[in-house]
Amino acid sequence: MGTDKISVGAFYNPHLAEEILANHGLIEHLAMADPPEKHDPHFPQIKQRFALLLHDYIGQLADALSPHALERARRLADLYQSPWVAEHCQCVITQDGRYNVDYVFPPVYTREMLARYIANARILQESLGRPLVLEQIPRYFRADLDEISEGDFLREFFEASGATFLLDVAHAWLQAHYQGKEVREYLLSLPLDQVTELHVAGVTEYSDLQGPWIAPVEPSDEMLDLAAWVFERIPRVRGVTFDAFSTILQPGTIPRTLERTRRRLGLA
Amino acid sequence: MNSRDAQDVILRLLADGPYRSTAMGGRGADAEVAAVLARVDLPALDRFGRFLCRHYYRERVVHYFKYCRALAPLVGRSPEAALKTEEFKALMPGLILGERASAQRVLDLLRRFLTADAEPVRAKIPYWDDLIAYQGAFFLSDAVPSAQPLAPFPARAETTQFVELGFDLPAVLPRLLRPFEELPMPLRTPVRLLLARSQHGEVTAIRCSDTLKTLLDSLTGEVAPAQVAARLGVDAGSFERTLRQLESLGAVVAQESFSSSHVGSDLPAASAKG
Repeated sequence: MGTDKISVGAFYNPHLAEEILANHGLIEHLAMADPPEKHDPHFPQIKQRFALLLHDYIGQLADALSPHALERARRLADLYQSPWVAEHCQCVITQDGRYNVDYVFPPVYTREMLARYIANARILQESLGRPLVLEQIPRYFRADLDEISEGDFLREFFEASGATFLLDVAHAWLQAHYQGKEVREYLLSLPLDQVTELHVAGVTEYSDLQGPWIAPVEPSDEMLDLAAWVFERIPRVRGVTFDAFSTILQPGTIPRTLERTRRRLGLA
Repeated sequence: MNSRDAQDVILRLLADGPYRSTAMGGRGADAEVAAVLARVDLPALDRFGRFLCRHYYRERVVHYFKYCRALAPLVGRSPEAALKTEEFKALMPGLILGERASAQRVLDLLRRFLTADAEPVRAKIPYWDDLIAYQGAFFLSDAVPSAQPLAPFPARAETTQFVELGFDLPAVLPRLLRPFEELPMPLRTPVRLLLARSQHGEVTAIRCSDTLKTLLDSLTGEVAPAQVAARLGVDAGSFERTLRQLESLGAVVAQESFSSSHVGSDLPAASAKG
């Protein structure tokens, strides 16, 4: 991925490998949420044709990363030749390792947590020899435990660690929705000048949540309008990725979404 | 309590159904935990906890029961549909994500769901029950084991499972995931598999001979490896190499690792990842 051109891509969904290969060009890069299966017959071609981005679970920056986690990340980043590696602004496992929600969930935004994230992100980047991008995660329920705003947490994190921002538009929409904020106003509270990668995605209704949440579905026109609005405010962006990774993702969804995204963002 | 500890309280509330139920009832929390609870929207947290629970098991059912899923058009039932039943809904408040006992309860539900009135399914797919047993073993191996008390000598890990099958399933499994006109049929022959879970959560299945099973059954943790080797009439050097391989797979635990490095997967039998 060059520095002068914005790359458009999707997540590698192995069950759609043939379709992905057939749409090389429309799809320029692939984010890798899982390591390739040992017997994936398409991966050699995938690796040859697309720029690959490491977007696996590396570890939570709230705690020190184990040597095993660092070694695994290094191995994958080398395999993909990933220009940057992604992690989520999340804290999902208790310190004793006993409880793990195994799903993205944000930390409380405190000075103590910020210091932990900065220290561990520095170690991670040094260990991998590659820059980190951090994706923001929405919070579904109210927890009045923050000392600073999410925007300040992220801004200070990027300034101190050297990492940059992976902005997910659907996450931003959900965060604003559940905090009762106007989404564009909320987006302006985030460090948009630090964005390296932009995720576009859809949301869907969940009965358990009695409301919308992250889903591997096409973004609505409203979501793409929001992506286009924010796209004009992220001068350092290098990649736009359709964030959908699931075995239920249907054929046709990725090409259709990328065509719509390219058109709406003026990247056709 | 610092903010990292407060985060842990929230994570436990989300992952541990019984703990959450107690908190929702306003019972049993010490002062520090109560201070966190007071600042959280508990009804919304409860909804998110239920969402996470369904998501957690769905991910695992989709991953580990992929062969049953591939056969769903033939049998008319998808394993993940079990998670939309009233029975699962009733189970949710008692489940702890990652806990082995909880995984066992979900697995019991899955088995009931997949084998209820299944005679027509068995008529089409004679190895249907084997398939459920095989995938169920992987599903259970995914759960985090409770801390096993360390014995003085190498012992079989509590997470190690033997799966006895009536068909040679591993030979046909990859073909079930590809389009087929005629249902792939494995050889009808007894097959024993050993499933092991490494300390990093990787689950490996290998064919298990009688000799290997006897060896593992002999590893009680109370007998020195040299004595076990002598009792089994096995050369001490090759016995130790096998122990190292079994340790790297997670089939054996030892108080002090007896291998200085984890060896590669050069066990003689074929291995398969679920």
